[in-house]
Amino acid sequence: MNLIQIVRDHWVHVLVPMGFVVGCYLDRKNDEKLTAFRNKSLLFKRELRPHEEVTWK
Amino acid sequence: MNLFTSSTLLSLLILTMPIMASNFNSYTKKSYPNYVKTMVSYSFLVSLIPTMMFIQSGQEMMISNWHWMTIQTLKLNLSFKLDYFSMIFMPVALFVTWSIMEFSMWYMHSDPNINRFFKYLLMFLITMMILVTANNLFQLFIGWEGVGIMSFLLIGWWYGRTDANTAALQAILYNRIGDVGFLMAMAWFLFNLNTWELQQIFTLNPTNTNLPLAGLLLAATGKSAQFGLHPWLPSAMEGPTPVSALLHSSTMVVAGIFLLIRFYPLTENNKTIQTMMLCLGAITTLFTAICALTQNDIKKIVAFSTSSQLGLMMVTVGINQPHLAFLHICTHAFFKAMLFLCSGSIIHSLNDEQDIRKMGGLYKSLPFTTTALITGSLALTGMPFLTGFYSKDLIIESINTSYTNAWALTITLIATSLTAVYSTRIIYFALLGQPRFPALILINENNPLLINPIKRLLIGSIFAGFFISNNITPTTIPQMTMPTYLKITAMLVTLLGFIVALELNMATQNLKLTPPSKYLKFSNLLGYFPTVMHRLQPLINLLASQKVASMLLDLTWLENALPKSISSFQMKTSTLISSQKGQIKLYFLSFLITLTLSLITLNIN
Amino acid sequence: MLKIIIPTTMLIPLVWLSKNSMIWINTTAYSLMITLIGLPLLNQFNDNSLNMSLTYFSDSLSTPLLMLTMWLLPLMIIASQFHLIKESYTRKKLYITMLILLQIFLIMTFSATELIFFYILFEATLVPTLIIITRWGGQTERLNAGLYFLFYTLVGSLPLLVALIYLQNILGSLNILLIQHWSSPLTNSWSNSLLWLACMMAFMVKMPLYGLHLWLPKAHVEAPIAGSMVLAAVLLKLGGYGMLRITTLLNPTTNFMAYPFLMLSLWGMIMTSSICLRQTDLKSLIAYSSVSHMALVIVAVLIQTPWSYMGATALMIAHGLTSSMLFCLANTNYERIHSRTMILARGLQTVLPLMAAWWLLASLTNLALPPSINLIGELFVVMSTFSWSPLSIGLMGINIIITALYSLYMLIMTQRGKQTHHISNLTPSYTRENTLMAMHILPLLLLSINPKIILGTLY
Repeated sequence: MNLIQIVRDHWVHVLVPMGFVVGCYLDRKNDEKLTAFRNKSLLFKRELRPHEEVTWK
Repeated sequence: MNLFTSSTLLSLLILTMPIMASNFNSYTKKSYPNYVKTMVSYSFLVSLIPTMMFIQSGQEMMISNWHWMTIQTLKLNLSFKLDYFSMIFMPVALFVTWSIMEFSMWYMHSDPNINRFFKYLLMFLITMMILVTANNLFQLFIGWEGVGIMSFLLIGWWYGRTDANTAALQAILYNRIGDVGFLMAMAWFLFNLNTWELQQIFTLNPTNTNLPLAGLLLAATGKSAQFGLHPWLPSAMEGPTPVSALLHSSTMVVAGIFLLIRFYPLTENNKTIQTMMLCLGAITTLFTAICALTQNDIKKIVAFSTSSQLGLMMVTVGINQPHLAFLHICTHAFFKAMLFLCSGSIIHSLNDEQDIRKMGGLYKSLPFTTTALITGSLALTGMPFLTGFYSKDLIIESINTSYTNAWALTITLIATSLTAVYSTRIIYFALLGQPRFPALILINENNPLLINPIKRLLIGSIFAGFFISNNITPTTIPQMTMPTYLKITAMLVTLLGFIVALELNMATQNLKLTPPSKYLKFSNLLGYFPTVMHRLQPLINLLASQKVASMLLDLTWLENALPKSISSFQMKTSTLISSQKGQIKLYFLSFLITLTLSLITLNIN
Repeated sequence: MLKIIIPTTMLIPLVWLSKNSMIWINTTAYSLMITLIGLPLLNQFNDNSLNMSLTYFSDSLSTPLLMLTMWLLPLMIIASQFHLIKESYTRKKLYITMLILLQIFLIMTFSATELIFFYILFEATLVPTLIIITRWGGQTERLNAGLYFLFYTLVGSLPLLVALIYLQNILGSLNILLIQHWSSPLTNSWSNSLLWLACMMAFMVKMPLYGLHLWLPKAHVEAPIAGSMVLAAVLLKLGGYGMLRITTLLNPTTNFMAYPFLMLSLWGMIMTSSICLRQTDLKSLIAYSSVSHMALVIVAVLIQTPWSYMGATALMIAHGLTSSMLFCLANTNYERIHSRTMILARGLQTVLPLMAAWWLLASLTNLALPPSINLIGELFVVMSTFSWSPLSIGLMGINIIITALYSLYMLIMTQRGKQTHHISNLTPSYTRENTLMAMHILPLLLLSINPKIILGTLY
């Protein structure tokens, strides 16, 4: 009961952090996309080093 | 040799302590003014260590410790120059400030904001120290502007008074005119030498330095109240007396001269600038001495005498004796600060009465102040073996034996003689004769907070010149031999001044009252300079900004040219087109315009 | 960059869904947090830029401006609380929404990689600003001010669109990062001079250049406090930013096309600052002082030397914070005296001593006291104009003197002097107001310790 009240009062505080998380996620997706594009180009592509998983980090 | 740099920095650091402490309220045990005063005295003591070491070994140093930024090829550091000038001036300034702060504990004791007053004084001192020790022009500029702003705040201390605010604004205005010169010099050095570091500038030793040195001269003219930019200094007497003693006699106003002395490696090779300095200084020293003759406000007289002494220093730099000018800065600080403190003591004792005509006979009620005032005046006139003698006599001797502009040198000598005249006038009117103040005033000068600072400065005014000139290594060769009449000229003109002034003052008791002569009016109204420059100039400027800038350009031309004309044009055309008047023929005829136009354009192509 | 833009967008639902009592606190807190997210951008480890995506990037020219924009949103929200105290909650929410909307547009403008995108957002910022001015302004003149504001900037910037389309045709791309490598020197012809005019005029109106500045005093004076703040602090800087970006395209035409505008700026700088000396209206004085400071930026950009570019960037940031602070201070007076006339609010130091300290600091930074970043900006501009033409030091000098005079005139008029009788029942300054001033002055002081981060791309 009390918990529900708190949630109802304060749920708006989720909005901005959620926006941040979504933004980060989209940024990261975009990075991956751009890196994938770069990895396909003849000029910039390279072999992965040992113990390296992805190039876009 | 680490003690040298570390103790210098320590004495600077001690000064910042009370500023920090005021944030944490850690001084609650004692009063804040007392805390500040103690800290300044500690700082003075610590600063004696490097000065002694400098006197002993003659070493000069440069500390450069915090890298601020590098802009392209210009590196800006926080750097301090510990050379002859800064090493000697630091203890002098700290000593004088210490005494003045103790004095202000007495003078300002009833002020509700006394803590803030002390903080302002301290911040002024810090900026002054920055100015003195700065090794690059940017840092120098920080100190330069800092002392200007602090003087604005301190002159306008009693902010309810319109006069104080006007005087404060005046000070900033004249200082800012000088700052333009400083900025120009900075720009020139940056543009031609790509550096703001002093020793790099001197090492590169540029030729054709008329422009930057003229800029620096302008800066010094503003800061040191030389002729043309001088009216702010007497107006600045609106501030509390300790402020006049600290800023407008011993430290801030000499900053301009100090700047020129700092740049002596460049000025000593530039005859044009030397002549300019000489003439400017000579005019200043004579003009302000004349103005001092007829003033009745005791602080104004001392202020004009400061201005006159600043002119004398400028003359000294002009005859290529920068070290001598520097010596005069140091000795002048002692007795001029003391003169202000004495006048402060008198003013406070007489219930804020500044007019010397309403004083008189104070040698009985204020014996100690009287002693100090007379000694200070004698030191100012260059009485042998008092402090002023050691610098002033040398200056007059160098002037007499110098072969430059005889005209400028002559009027400097006249001004020297006038020094004795206005000093006599203060002594005669304020101290001697019959009392002319209300009889019921309770006069008491027996307060250690008043006696001690004046006592210290009194000792300084008697012995400091001897100590300083005895200990520092001679930098320029003084004139060794000269005829007797040249040697005693300084004394003679001063004595002449004294005798004439005394005779005239005596004569005033028997003369009948005549309407003021035009010479008196010239002197009393400060050469009509403020009347003309402070009325006409602002009137023209403000009228121009109102009429031309605001009314004519902004509200009429620019408004009419774009928005109003477009809207009225639109309005006219739209009424023309939208309101039908049944003139079918004309409307059809208007199609012809389009037709002809298109035909013409087609034909051209 | 999305990680900044999306949270900023989420502020809008936050405003509307928050409880009525919480709208100010919530928006202030979250917009401050968004500023924190932006801070890492200041670390420009790469030589040229940080490329977030194909649409957004930031480099050391745009990042300080971005930070300024983000820093200003919470300040605007804090400042407007009293102004809207009598409005209904819906209107308050609408007002904050407009501010947030403006913020989103501004962030996107400063970080856009594409010039057309930049152009669209540049124009889009007009909409919320116009609404803020004409809806919440103080008097009926606000409608006139809104008209001036809209039409001056629109008429100025329409040729830019044509010019951009033309450039797109000849260059094949309008990507800011690419065109500086692709663009070829313009030939000396009439059409290229017109191209130069079309490109620059939009930003010069925005700056504003003297002669095209009439909209600015009107808009500043009539706008509510948040409007004045954002206008002075950020919207004027859009012009400077645009000029700095687009001049790379316009070489070498700038070399000779710049002269009339340099003259106009140098002349206008003195004219506008002498107008300041005769102002009776506090906000109008601050507005005219903005024009005179921005004239320095125009001069600096047109001279095109590394030092002048650094000076222009530093001056933009410094002026943004300073003038915004001055407007806030003017507003605190206005909220107490209910008049902008200076003579009605004199002698305030006795009543509000802490406010007097803020006034003092703001005036001193406005007159460029060393070592504030205002001085760094002005100093660099003066140095570079001196190397351009030593004679210009005369005009610059006059301007420096007048700037000091009117700043201190403003200080003395409002703070010093005798207290008047009608101000005996003033409310003391709120913590909110003191916080607001502190949040303006702290960045100014901190930046003067390390001014490198606001010196732009050429540092």
